[in-house]
Formats: sequence, structure tokens, C-alpha cells
Amino acid sequence: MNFGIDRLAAAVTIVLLAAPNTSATETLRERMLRSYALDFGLVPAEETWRDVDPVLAAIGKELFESTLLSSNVDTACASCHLDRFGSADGLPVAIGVEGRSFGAERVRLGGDPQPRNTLPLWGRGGKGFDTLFWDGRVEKLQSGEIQSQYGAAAPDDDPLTVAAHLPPLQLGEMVFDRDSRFAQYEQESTSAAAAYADTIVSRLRERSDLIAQLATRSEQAETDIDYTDVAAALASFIARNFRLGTSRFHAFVFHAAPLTSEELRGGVLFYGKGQCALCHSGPYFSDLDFHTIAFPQFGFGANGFGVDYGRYNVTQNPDDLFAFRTPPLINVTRTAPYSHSGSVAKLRDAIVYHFDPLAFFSNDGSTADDREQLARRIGLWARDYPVAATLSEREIDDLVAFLGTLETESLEKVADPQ
Amino acid sequence: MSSVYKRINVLLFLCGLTLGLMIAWLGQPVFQWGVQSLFRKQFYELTASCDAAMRTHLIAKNRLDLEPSETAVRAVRSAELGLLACQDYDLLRKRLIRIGLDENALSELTLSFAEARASDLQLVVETHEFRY
Ligand code: HEC
Ligand code: HEC
Repeated sequence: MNFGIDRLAAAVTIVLLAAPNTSATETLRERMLRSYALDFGLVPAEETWRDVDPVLAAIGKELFESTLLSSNVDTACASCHLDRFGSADGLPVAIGVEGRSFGAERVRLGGDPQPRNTLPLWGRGGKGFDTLFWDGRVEKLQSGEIQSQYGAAAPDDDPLTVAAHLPPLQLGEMVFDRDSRFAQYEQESTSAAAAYADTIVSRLRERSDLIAQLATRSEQAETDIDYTDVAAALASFIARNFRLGTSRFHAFVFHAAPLTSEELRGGVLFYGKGQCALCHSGPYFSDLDFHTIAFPQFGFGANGFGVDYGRYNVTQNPDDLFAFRTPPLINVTRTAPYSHSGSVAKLRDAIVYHFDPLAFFSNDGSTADDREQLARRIGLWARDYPVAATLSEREIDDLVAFLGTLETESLEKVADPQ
Repeated sequence: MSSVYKRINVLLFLCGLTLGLMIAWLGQPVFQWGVQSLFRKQFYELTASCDAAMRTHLIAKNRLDLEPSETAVRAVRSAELGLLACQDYDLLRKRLIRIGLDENALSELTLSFAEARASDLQLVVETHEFRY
């Protein structure tokens, strides 16, 4: 009997010693997190939706899954933007034409590697999501004007349509650059691109009924349908299918749904000590602006082996060297690997690089050039982060838990291309 | 009852008394030490965290004073929320006091944190220098 009371007393003591903070601070935290999320630009998911014609989007879905859009009919948008990898491809850098299968299998089977990590499509085409690609090479300016490699001749005034216009015309991504028949497009000159777009449209007309469907929908003659209509349908599909759903975090902020205490701590870190929301702000968790995080550079890079100048490639402004568009964080838990060159395999590590860029640095095999670049990028990073918040293991766990609350589902499943 | 028996009883009593005194005398420091070790890691983490949060806050305010902008305002707001780390630190102190850790032991924790990092003279100087 005595023994029982002893045990009880011991148990009570242990619970008291180990008890987490009182529930009063929990509600303070909940209140603060909700108000900070609003202050930093979160809106209900539906408020980011644009009106999209569902019929056009349905045609766009078939186009998205069709390999007819690539030069040698082996690659679809869906080859790289896969459901199972959160609409990205699960690879460090994308593998373009001549690629087969998906995921790691796709690397093993060979194909044309691309310089950048595949971006997922969540929220693209939503309101205000007007800066596209890692370097923002398609952008709708304040004036409403579209800035892109098409110059003044942008094929459309919707940035996503212009972006969807690009992939089949990017070398290697969907155009097979060693195929002599298409060698002319290597120059990426606008006229060659236009000729290529015509080829795709004719092929689609011959081998599918999609052009006919587009003509019916837009009440145009089939002969008047051009690649811009195809791109607009692709854009409609993306904007509808990958529009933001009500994530658990949305439900917490707008419908008073609960978060676990780990997620709650993570959220407070995200908007507070971690300073994450200074860049990952707004409805998409991105300021759609350009910053430098000293992630390692993987692969040959857009500017030669191991070099990617990022935003500079678009502006030619030396101030923009090594800057990349802040990636949105919707479904980020599903889109490993991370960074513009896919050099970081784990979400935890992607967070660590933000405050401790040398955490995983190894001098083995690095050249003076590599180190010079790294030092330069760390310098740029330091300007954005006057005092980096060093986070503990537990705090990183909390942040990862919080990022998990930003998962949302697509409207429909995308079929894996054959 | 034999006197031998009595004597043993007295001896036993004295032994028990000594033991009790020793436990009472030693127990308190042992208890203090136990609580310190149990919470040392967490205490250090929260101290560092609050310290960093205060520095971040100060620098964010400097920037806002020098070049006011939307971004600078947000940085200050963010740093303010970051100060919750200091609330956690305060709460841990309170909890330790409630458990029975005395002021001396608490100060010792703080000092040992400062000294743990001061592995060379320069650091010792920085820790103890008056700044104005
Ligand atoms: C070879 C793999 C591959 C294929 C095929 C592909 N993409 Fe991509 N996609 C990428 C990569 C890599 C990026 C990031 C490129 C960059 O930013 O430099 C990207 C980026 C995008 C973006 C910009 C997203 C953002 O966050 O700004 C859109 C939109 C897009 N792709 C749509 C499409 C469409 C539509 C198709 C089919 C016509 C397609 N992609 C085919 C790999 C691919
Ligand atoms: C100074 C602006 C800035 C701040 C502050 C910031 N980030 Fe980032 N973050 C970026 C940029 C820019 C990238 C992409 C850089 C690149 O790929 O080269 C990025 C990448 C990421 C990625 C990888 C995403 C992907 O799809 O590859 C994650 C995850 C991430 N940040 C989370 C965080 C968290 C968590 C915090 C707070 C601890 C944070 N960020 C703070 C700018 C910032």
C-alpha cells in the first residue's frame, strides 16, 4: 500500500518536472501565429483562385499528359511534373528528351540533364503569382507588361501562358537537340521557335483531336488554332488543377482548426525567430523576389560547369548574381530534392543551409574556383541575414512539422506518361 | 534486557542519526545538482536562443531607424515574435524555482553557460567587459 503511494508520488513528480509550458502560453502562441500569418499575407485559399474555364482546363490536361508536344514524341509535361513527386520529378536536375521512366530510374536510363531542379506547379496561375521560373525569366511587371525572352512580342498577357509556351521550346527539355531535323531550333531564335510550335500544332492536329476540341471551345476555325492556344489550355489546366487547397495551416488560421504543439512551435519559429517569412511570405509562401542562399551548386549549372548566375541571366545586372526566386513552400515536404540545382536531399538540410551555410562544407575535391564562388554567395547571403537565427535540432524538427501543414491536394490525378 | 543489547541500540541510534544528518546535509546539494544536470541542456539552449533573439531585434530596429521600409518593418515584427524565446527562458527559470532550485544554483547555471563558451581570454574579456 505504502509502495503504491510512493509510486504515485514519484509519477506525479516526474510529470511535473517534465510538463511542457502551461496552456496559457499555448493560446498566446496560437493567437500570435494566426495574426502573423495574416500580417505576412496569408489569405484563404479560394481568394488566390482565378476564373478558369473547366472545359479548356480538361483539354489542357490531355495536352499536359501528351508526348506529342516533344520533338521526338517521348516527353510530356507530365514526364517531369509528376503527381508522386508533388508535381516535380524527384530528381536533382530535370532529365529532358530521351529520358525514360521516372525518378531515379530516369537518371539511370539516360537522357538530357537540365541545369535546374524541376519546379512544382502549386499555386502557379493563381492571383499575384506573376513571376515564373527560378530566375524569374517570365514576369508580369507592375505596368501589366510581360517580360520574357519573347521581348515585346510576348505571345500572351498571362505570364503562366507565356511560361507554358516555353518548355517545348527550351532546348533539351522537350526539343531533342541532337536531332538534325530540329537543329535549327538550337538558336532558340523566335522565328525558329515559331516554326517549331507550328510543327507541334500540325502534329497534334494529325494525331489527336485536341486541336479540334480547342477550335470548338474557342469557336475558331481549326486552322486558326496556334501554339498560343495550346499554351493557354496548358495554363488553364495548371491554374485549376494545382490551385491552392485549404491546407491544415489555412484551416488553423481561418477555421480555428488545431495544430499539434510541434507544428505550433514551428509556425512561431517560421514567422519569428527563424525569420523565414521575411522571404517566404504571402499566400504562396514566397515574396516572388530574388535572394541568395548559399546552397551547394550541383551539376553543370546554367552558366557552365558548376556555375549558375540565376537572376543575373535575366537582368544582366551584377547585383543579381547568384540570386534565385524564393521558392513557394506549398507541398514542399513532397518535392525533394531542394534548391535550384536540387543539391540538397533533405528538407532539414535545406533549412540548415539558411543559417549555417558551411555546416556540410567539405574541402575534398573543391577547387579554388568553387570556394571563391561559395565565399561570394555567402557574402550575398549575409546581407539578407544580418543575424542568422541559429536553430537547434529540435527547432528544425518543429519547422519541418510546420512545413508539413502546408500540404494540399490537386484536383485530379495526372496520368504517368507511357 | 542485557546492557550489551542496550549499547548496540544506542549505537544504532547514533548511526541512524549521523546517516540522517549526512543525507540532509548532502541531499540538498545533490538535489540541486540533479536538477541542474537534468535541465542544463535546455537551459543553455534557451539562454542562447533568447540572447540571439535580442540581438536580432536590436539590429532589426537599427535598420528600421536608418532606412525605414516595408521590409524593415516586417523584420522588426518578425524579431518581436522571435522574442518569445525569452518568454520560454523566463518560464523555464520560474519552473526551476518552483521545483526547488535555489537562486545560487540558478546563477551558477547562467555563469557556467557563459564560461562554457569562454575558452580563451578574449572571450572571457568580452563576457565581462562593461559596454556603454
Ligand atoms: C525535362 C523536364 C520538364 C518537362 C518535360 C517540363 N518541365 Fe516544366 N519545368 C521543368 C524545370 C527544370 C523547371 C524549372 C526551370 C527553371 O526555372 O529554370 C520547370 C518549370 C516550369 C514552370 C514554372 C513554374 C514556376 O514555379 O515558375 C511551369 C509553369 C512549367 N514548368 C510548366 C511545364 C509545362 C506546361 C510543360 C509541358 C509543356 C513542362 N513544364 C514540361 C522541367 C520540365
Ligand atoms: C533571405 C530570404 C530567405 C529567408 C529569410 C528564408 N529563405 Fe528559404 N529560400 C530562399 C531562397 C532564395 C531559396 C532558394 C535558393 C536557391 O535554390 O538557390 C530558399 C529555399 C528554401 C527551401 C527549399 C525549397 C525548394 O523547393 O527547393 C526551403 C525548404 C526553405 N527555403 C525554407 C526556409 C525556412 C524554413 C526558412 C526560415 C528558417 C527560410 N527558408 C528563410 C530565401 C529565403
